[in-house]
Amino acid sequence: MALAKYFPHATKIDFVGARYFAFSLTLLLFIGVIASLSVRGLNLGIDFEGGLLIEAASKQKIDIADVRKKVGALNLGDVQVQHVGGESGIMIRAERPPGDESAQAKAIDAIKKALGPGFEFRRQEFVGPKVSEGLFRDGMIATGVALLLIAIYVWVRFEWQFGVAGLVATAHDVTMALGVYSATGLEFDLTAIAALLTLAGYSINETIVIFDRLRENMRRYKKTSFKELINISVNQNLFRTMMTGGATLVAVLPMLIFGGESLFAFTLAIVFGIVTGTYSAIYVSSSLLIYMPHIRRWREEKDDKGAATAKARA
Amino acid sequence: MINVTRFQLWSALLVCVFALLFAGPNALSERTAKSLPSWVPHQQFSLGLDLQGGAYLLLEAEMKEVVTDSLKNVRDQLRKSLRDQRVRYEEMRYVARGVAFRAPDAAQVDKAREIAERVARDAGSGSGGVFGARQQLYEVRVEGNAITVRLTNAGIASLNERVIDQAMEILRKRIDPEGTREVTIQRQGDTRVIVEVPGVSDTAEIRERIGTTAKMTFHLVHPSILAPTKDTLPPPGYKLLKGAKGEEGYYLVVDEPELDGTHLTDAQQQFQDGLPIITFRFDTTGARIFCKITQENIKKPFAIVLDNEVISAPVIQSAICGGSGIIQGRFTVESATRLALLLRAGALPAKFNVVEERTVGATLGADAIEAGIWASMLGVALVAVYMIGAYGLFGFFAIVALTFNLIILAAIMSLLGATLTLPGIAGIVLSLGMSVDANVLIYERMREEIRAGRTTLSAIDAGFRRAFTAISDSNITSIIAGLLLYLFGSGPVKGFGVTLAIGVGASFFTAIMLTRIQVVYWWRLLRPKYLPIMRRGAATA
Repeated sequence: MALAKYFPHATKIDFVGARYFAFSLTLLLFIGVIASLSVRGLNLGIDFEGGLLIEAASKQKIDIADVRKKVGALNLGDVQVQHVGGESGIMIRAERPPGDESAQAKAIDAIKKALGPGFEFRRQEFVGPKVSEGLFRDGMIATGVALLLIAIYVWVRFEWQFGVAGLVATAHDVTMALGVYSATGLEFDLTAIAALLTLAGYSINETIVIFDRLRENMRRYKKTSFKELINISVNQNLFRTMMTGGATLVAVLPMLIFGGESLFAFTLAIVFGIVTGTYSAIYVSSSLLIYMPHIRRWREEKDDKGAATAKARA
Repeated sequence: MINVTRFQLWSALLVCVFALLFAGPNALSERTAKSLPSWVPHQQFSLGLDLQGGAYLLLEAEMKEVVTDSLKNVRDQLRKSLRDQRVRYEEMRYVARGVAFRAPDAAQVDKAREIAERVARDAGSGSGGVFGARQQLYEVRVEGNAITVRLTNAGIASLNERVIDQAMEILRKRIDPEGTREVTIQRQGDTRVIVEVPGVSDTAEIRERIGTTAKMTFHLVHPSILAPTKDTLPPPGYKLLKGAKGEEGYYLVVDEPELDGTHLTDAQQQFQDGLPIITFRFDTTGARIFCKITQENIKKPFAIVLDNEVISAPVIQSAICGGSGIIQGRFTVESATRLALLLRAGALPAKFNVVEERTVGATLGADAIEAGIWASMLGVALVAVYMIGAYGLFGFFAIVALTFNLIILAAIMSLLGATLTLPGIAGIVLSLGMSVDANVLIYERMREEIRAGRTTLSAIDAGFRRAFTAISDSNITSIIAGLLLYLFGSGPVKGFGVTLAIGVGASFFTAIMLTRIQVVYWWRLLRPKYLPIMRRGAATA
């Protein structure tokens, strides 16, 4: 046991040296995301789009064409019917049934009636247009405010340059995750907002751990160049980054596989966030600092003096 | 940081014991937990509707009518006072949120303003504002000879508050008349109410019960025009009402009701000649008024009006002074039973529309909770294997801390009466990863310090000390994200925010305190030369 002792240490990978390669990769991905968002857009769920949704199960196989015909006769506008959880389950979704909220409630009852007996209704939802607008706005506000507050916190704990770099890195990860939602066509709903915020939390966590080490090294090695310091800090943290990423992956993996359909999109976004969070901590936030003006070298504090001299330089 | 003071040790142990006590009831079944004596912690966290199945409805009050009613009152008062004081006025009309008129006689503008101000004052003031000061609900504005009495923002807020306050109680009586279901009714924003009914998967009946205001009034009918049509122009003091479903035709009734539903104390569905009817009973004031009207209006029709539709207009045969009466109409047993229920519960102060509805069937909820529990247990097991595999004994310490992290999370959620949702379970699983991160930071730091030439003891010390800032900074940012999810999120997302924030907060305690206590006591007991996370010989001690 305790395999950690066999893991490599004192790696000297030149992360900063490879930054132009990483920058072009980031740029490429970013263009891809923007293209996907503008061409395909997001597959907004009824939370944000308004509309109704019914999930039903039957003991027998369900003939989807038959269901389409029955529901289509109700004139509810654009209606999607698809199987969920095998052939004995269906999901019916009407994006914008004509009329106001009460019309939607009536539409649900009408669909249930049209389907006839023999169905068990597992889930039924409708979100009125007024509510969905509010939900979307609140979700966006939450994400925006979270990013801002986190940046301010980093600013207070470090320096404004770090706050900006952290904000950019987190925004980068959130944008990339939006790209995943757009490219895969996974439903973007309230749970997706939760996933984005969680991912933002994870991403800033990675960034802060590296910043923290960078600050310590800046106090310790006064004469080392900033690029070198970033390399040292990232390398020192490399194993920790892998371990934590691994632990979180291991924790959420069962959810991805067994968590059922409702948690799938959420977990997928988190898994993706673990990857981008690690990447952006190195190549977005830390690398950005290279181009930031006037980063103050922290004054050597008494406490660190002894430790610094006792240590051999890496 | 290598010292653990006795105070730290005991307080940490105390926290763990309390956490176990308060988390404990969740392991019991609901009934066993409820049967525990009151001095034992017995609160359980509740399951969200997505896990236990049930209906969630978001209702919105139609405030327009409420505002109009309150303005109508102001207009009537203005007219009356102006007339009484012989102040000439013209162009009395409704404007946005207010009533406006002109005082054509320049000499009377001041007097008109005084009257308007008095009416505005009498129309109500509500408490509010920062210091609980009484705020005017109406304000008066004068431009030239034009005078406007308008609802202030405080006035609108007070109307909203009153409507929602009243509605919440009445909604509860309507949805849960026996008080046996665990219905949750809470305010959301200014004009919305959230209704959550566990265990219900068909919302049609709920919608029927909240869809009508059920405002019942009793009116006298116009003495001569007994069969008006929809084009009949009502004479002053009268209004034209439609017959309810099944009742043909129109009725001309006196504008002001003689009596209304607030005086009802009871209403029941019964049968008369095999047809469903509703019997009702008035309170003493209501009975007195009813007695007087029926005495004075024998052989005249008396209209029973529900939500501005005439249910029936029976001719009064004799004085009714017993305080009870019956309503006949085109009822089915079902509709009569429902109407009786609505009358018992009272009228809603405004019409409520369902603007959002989500229902989860019980089986889907059960499936979700099963999947969630399996996935999280498997997650915990994998993390345990992973950590022990990587860090050996220290990994085991981390898992002990992690276990208490979960127990503390369960305890706090029970204490707060928080709700566990499916995304909440995901939040817990995710906070597992975050929680181990603290341990990883500490252990990796120790390894570095030993490689840098420290002794075991000083490496342990430095590991905890130096990892602290990184851990606290990253945890605080996670808590910020969690709190924002709670503040801005709705439904399941809120639950996720709560569990994430509590989970990360708890991990701050467990990963640092509990791990430290374990490591320190292990060191004191064995005085080891090597840490289990290092290869022998790596240390230069």
